[in-house]
Amino acid sequence: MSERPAGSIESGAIFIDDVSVTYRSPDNSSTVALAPTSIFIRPHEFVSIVGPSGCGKTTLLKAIADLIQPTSGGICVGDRSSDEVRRARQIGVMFQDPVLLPWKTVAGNIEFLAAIARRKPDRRQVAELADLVGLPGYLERYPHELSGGMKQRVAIARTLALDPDLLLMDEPFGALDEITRHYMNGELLRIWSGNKKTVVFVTHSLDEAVFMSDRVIVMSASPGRVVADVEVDLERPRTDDMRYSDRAVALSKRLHEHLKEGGGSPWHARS
Amino acid sequence: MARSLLDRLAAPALLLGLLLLWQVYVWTAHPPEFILPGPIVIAQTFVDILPALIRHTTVTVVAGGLGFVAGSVIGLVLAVVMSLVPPVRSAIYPIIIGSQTTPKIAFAPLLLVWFGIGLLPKVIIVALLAFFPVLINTLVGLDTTDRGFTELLRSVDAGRWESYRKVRLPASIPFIFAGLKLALTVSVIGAIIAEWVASNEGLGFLLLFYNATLRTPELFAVLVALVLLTSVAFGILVLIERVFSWEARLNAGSTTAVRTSAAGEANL
Repeated sequence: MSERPAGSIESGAIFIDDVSVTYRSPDNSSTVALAPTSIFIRPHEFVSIVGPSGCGKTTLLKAIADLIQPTSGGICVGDRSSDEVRRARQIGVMFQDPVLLPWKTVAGNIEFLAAIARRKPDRRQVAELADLVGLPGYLERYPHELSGGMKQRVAIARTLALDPDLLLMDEPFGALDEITRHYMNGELLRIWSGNKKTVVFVTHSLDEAVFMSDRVIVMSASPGRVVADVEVDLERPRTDDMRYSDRAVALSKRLHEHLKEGGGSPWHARS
Repeated sequence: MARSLLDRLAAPALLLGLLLLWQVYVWTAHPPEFILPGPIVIAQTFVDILPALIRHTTVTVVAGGLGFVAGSVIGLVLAVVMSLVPPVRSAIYPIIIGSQTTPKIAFAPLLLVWFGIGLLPKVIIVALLAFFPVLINTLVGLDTTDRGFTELLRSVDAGRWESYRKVRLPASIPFIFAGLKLALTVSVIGAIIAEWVASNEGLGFLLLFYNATLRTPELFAVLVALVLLTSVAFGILVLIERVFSWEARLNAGSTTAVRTSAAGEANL
C-alpha cells in the first residue's frame, strides 16, 4: 500500500497505553485479567501474543478491537481511539471459531461484514477473494459442506473484504489439525505479504508465533502481564523450512524460557 | 437403495398389519359394535357420514386455523418485542411462565360466559394454547445467537436492527418453525376441547355427540377425520417451512446436515 498518503500509513500503528482490565463478579470480588500494560505496535507489523491460559491475551486483543472496555488506560490506532476506528469499520477480527452464517453461501459469507460496513464488494471482487484464499469454485457452496480449514479460509476472505487497517486474530487456527494449521500459516503470510496490514495474532503455539511474526509478546498469568517482547529476525518471505530452522527453534526456546520465568499455568492450554 | 425402499415401506406395512390384526380379532371374538367396531365397519361408516364429517371439519378448521394464526402471530411479535426491549421482557416473562402452569382449558367455561357459544371463544382458547410454544421457541432462537456473531457485528459497528435482520431473525427461523409445529398440534387439541365445552358444531362436538349416543363406529370415523386433518395441516406447514426456512431447504438437498426442528414432528 505504498501509494497511500503518508498520514494514513500511520493509521496502522497501535498505541496501548497503560491499559488494564479488571472483571468484577456479581459477588463484588474482582479479578485482574490484565495488569497495566503498554505496548507500541508499528504499522504493517505482524505481532503475536503468546502466553498461558488466563494471561489476558484474548482480553488485550478484545480491548484493542473495542469489544471490551479497559478499566484504565487507553488505546489509540493512528491518531484515533480504538472506538473511533471500530466505528469507521477499520478493524477486522477473526476467532478460533469461523462463525459463518449457515444460511448464506460462501459468496454471501464473504461479503456479509463488508456489506454492513457499506463496502459491499461486487461479484468479481468476491470471486477474487475466494481465489486468494484458495477457494475458487466454492462460491455457491454452503458452510456445512466445507471442512474446518475451508471455513477458516472463508473467514479470512470475509475479513479481507472489509479491507481493514487492522487485523486482530484470536487463535484463528487453534481448532485445526497441525498439518492444516501449518498450511494456513503459510497462506496467511502469503496474503499478508500482498497488503501488509498491521496484524495482532494471539496464539498458544510458540513455533507458530515465531514462524509468523516480526515480534512476539510473551504474557504471563495472574495477573495477566507482559513479561517479554522478542524481535523475530528471520528473513521474509518465510518458507516452510524455516519453521524448524536452528534460528527459529532457538527463538521458540527463548520464548519458552520467558514463559517459565513468568510462571503461571502450562502455556499449551487455551486462553 | 433396496434398504431405503424397505425403510419407506416399514411404517405403512406396520399400520396395515395392525389394522389386519384388529379386523381378525373382531371377526373371531365378535365384540359388541358399540365397544369395538372393526376397521371395515369404520371405513363404511366414514363414507356414510362423510357429508356431516366435512361440514363439522370445516367448523373445526376455521376455529383452529384462526386461533393458530392469531396465537402464532401474537407469540412471534411479542417475542421480538421482548428481546428488543429488555424491560418489556422482565415485565412479561414471569407472568407468561406463571400462566403456563394454569391449564388454559380451565378458562373455557368463563369464556363461554363472556362470549357465548360460537367461534370467538374457540378461537381465543386455541390462540391461548398456540401462542406459548411460538413465543418461547422464538425467544430461544433469538437468544442463542452465537457470541462470536455478537462480537463480529460489533466489530463492524452494525446497528441493532441490522443485526436483527441479517443475523438474529434468520438464525431463529428453524426455532420458529419448531414452535409453529408444536403450536399446530396444541391448536387441534385446543379446538377439540373448546368444542366439547362451548360449541354445538365441529369435530369435538361430534365426538361427544356420538360418544353419548354410543355410536362407536361414527366415533371412530370422527377420529379418522381428525388424524387426516392434522396430517394435512402438518404437511402444509412442512411445505411452508421448505419455502421459508433455510435449514429445511439445506436439509432437503443434503444428508449430512442435522435436523434440529424434528422435535415438533415427534409431538404429532
